[in-house]
Amino acid sequence: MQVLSVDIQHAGYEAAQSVIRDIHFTVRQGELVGIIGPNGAGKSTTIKAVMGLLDHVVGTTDLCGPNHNYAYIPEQPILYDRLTLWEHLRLAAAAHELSDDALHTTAIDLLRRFRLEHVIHHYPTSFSKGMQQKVMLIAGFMAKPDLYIVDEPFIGLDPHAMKDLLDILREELLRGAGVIMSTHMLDTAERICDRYLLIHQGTIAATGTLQDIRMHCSMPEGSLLDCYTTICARSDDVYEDA
Amino acid sequence: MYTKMHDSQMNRSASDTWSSWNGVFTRRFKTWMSDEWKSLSTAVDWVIALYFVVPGLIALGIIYTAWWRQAPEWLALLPVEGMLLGLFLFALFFKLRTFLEPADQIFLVRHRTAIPTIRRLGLVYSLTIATLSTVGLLLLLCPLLVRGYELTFGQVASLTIVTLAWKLALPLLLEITRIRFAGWRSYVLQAGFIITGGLVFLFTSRFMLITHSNDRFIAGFCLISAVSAAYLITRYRMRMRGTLLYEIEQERRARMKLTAFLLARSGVKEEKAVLDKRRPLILRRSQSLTRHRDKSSALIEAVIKSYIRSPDQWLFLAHYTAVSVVALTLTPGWWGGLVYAGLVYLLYQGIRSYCTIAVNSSYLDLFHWSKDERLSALFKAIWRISLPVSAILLLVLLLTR
Repeated sequence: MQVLSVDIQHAGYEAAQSVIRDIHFTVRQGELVGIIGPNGAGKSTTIKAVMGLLDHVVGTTDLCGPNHNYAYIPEQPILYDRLTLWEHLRLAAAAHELSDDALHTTAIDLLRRFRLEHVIHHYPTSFSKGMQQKVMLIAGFMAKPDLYIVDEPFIGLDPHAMKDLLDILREELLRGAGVIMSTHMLDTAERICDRYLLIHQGTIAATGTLQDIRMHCSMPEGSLLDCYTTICARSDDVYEDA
Repeated sequence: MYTKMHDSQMNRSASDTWSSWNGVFTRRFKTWMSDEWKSLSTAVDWVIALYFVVPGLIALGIIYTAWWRQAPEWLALLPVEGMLLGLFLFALFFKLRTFLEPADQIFLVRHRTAIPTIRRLGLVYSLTIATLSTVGLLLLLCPLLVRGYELTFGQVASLTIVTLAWKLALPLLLEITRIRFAGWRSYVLQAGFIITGGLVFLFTSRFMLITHSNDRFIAGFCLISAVSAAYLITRYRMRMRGTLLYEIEQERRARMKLTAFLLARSGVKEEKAVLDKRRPLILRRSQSLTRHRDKSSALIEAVIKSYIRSPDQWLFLAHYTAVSVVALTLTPGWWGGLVYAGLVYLLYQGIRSYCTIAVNSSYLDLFHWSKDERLSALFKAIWRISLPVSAILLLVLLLTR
C-alpha cells in the first residue's frame, strides 16, 4: 500500500522560476526511499513541495496512508529558547493529539533510547548540536505517522545515536511506516535504503533500487557513490552540450 | 649584520601587521556605524525628527539655560545622596566592545597580534564612549550641582573623574565575575559587588564633596584610588585568557541590540545563541500550568512559560509597572480612568510583540497548528500574562482617587 504519491510537473519559490521539474515517485508502506544529489540539486525543494510548503507547485502530492499524516524531522534543530525538553515533547504530543499515557510511554522510551532522560527538565538550547538533533528525532518519532520525511538525519549524531536512529527507523518500517530521507551519507544510504531518487539540476536523474541504478550507469559492481558521480558527470555533460 | 637585518625586517613586518589589524578594526567600526545609522533612520524618519526630536532639543536647551539662572525648586526635595545614587546607577552601565567576530576564532586566532590589537582598539572605543557620556551627563547636571548643591567647578570635575573611574571598574568587575563564576555563586558575588560598590561610591563621593570639601589631600587620595582601581581592573580584564568565545557572543549581542529591538517591535525574532542556563529558574521540573491537555491549552502554556522565564520580559513588566504606578499617582481625579485604559492597552501591545514571536515559532511549523489555533492561543496568553499587572494598576487607580 502506498503512503505517498508525488506527481509534480514543476515547482519553485516564485511562479516564474521553477526550481524542480518532473518529479514523480511513490513511497510504499515499509519502504525507505533515499533522496540523494549534490548541493543545490533540489532535494530540499522537493521535500518542501511534498510537505505543501511551496506556494508555486504545478502537480499533486497525495498522503495516501491510513491516517494521512506525516512527521518531518528537519536538518537544523528548531527549538524554543525557554521551554524544557519535556515541554517541547508535551507540545509535540498535543499537536499530534496524543493522550498523557501515550506521551509518557512513547516519550520516556525514546528518551531512554537516545540517552536524554537525565536532561528532560533542561533547556534543549543549552544542548550540543547532536543532542538537539536527538530532540528533533524524538519529537518526530512520537507521532507514529504513516510517513517520515527526514532531512539529513545523521549530521551531528555520534555513532551510538546513529545506530539508535537506524534501529528505530527499522522498527518503524516494520510497523508499516514509509520513510523518505535526504542524505549525503551515501555509504549509509546504500546499506539502508530500498530505493533511491537521484536528483540533479532540479529533476530526477536516476531512480530505482541500487541494482536499477547500477544498470542505469552500466556499473554492475559499482557502489552508490560510483554510480552517483557517474550519473552527475553525465548530466553535467548533457547540460553543458545543451 | 644578518641579525640586524632580520630584526629590522621583523619590526617592519610587525608594524605592517599592526596597521593591517588596525585597518580591520576601522573597517568593522565603519560597517557597524553604517548599519546602526540605517537601523536608526528606519525608526526615526524626518517626521519624527521634525515633530519630536527637534522640539525636544529646543525645550531641553531652554530648561538648561533656566537652570543656570536659578536651580529648580524641586531640587530642594532631592538630597545630594539621591543625585549621587543616580550617578552610581549610571556608572553601572558600561559595555566593553571588542569588535570581534565569530570567524575570528578560525582566521585571526592564528595571528598572534590580531585579536589583542582589535581588542585594544575596542577598549579605546569603549573608553571614549564612556568618557563622552560621563562628561556629557555631568555637563547636563552641572547647573544643578553648582547652583543647587553649591559645588565648585573643581568638585564637579572631581565627581566626573570618580564617576568615570567607577563606570569602568564596577561593570568590568561584574563581567570578570560572570566569566569566572557560574550559577548562584556568580549572582551572589555580583550582588555583593553592586551593593558594596554602591556604598563605597556614595561614601567616598560624599566624603570628598561634602564632609571634607576643602581638603585637597582627601580629594586627591579619593581620585587616585578610584583611577588606580579602574586601571588595575581594566588591565586584569584585558589580560584574561580564554575569553574569546565570550567576547564574540557579547559583541554579537551589542551589535544586534538596536536592530533586535526594532525587529522585535515588528514581530521578528533575532536568532539567539545557545543559552548559558541549563535549567529554568521558574517551573524547574516542567510542571504544567493547567490540567487541560488539548492543543490550545498546550500552546497557551508554552507561550506563557516562554514569557515568564525570560528575564528581559520580567524587566519590561517591572519597569512598566513602576512607570505606570507613578503616572497613575500623578494623574488628577478620574482622568486616571482614561490613563489606566491607555496603560493597559500599551501593556497589551508590549506583551503581544513577544507572544507573536512565540506562536510563530519554527518549532510549531513542524506540526499541524492552524492559523486560528495560533491566534486564539496568542490572545488568551496575552490576557493571562497581562492580568496581574492590570490588576495592580487598577488597585493603584482605586486607592489614589
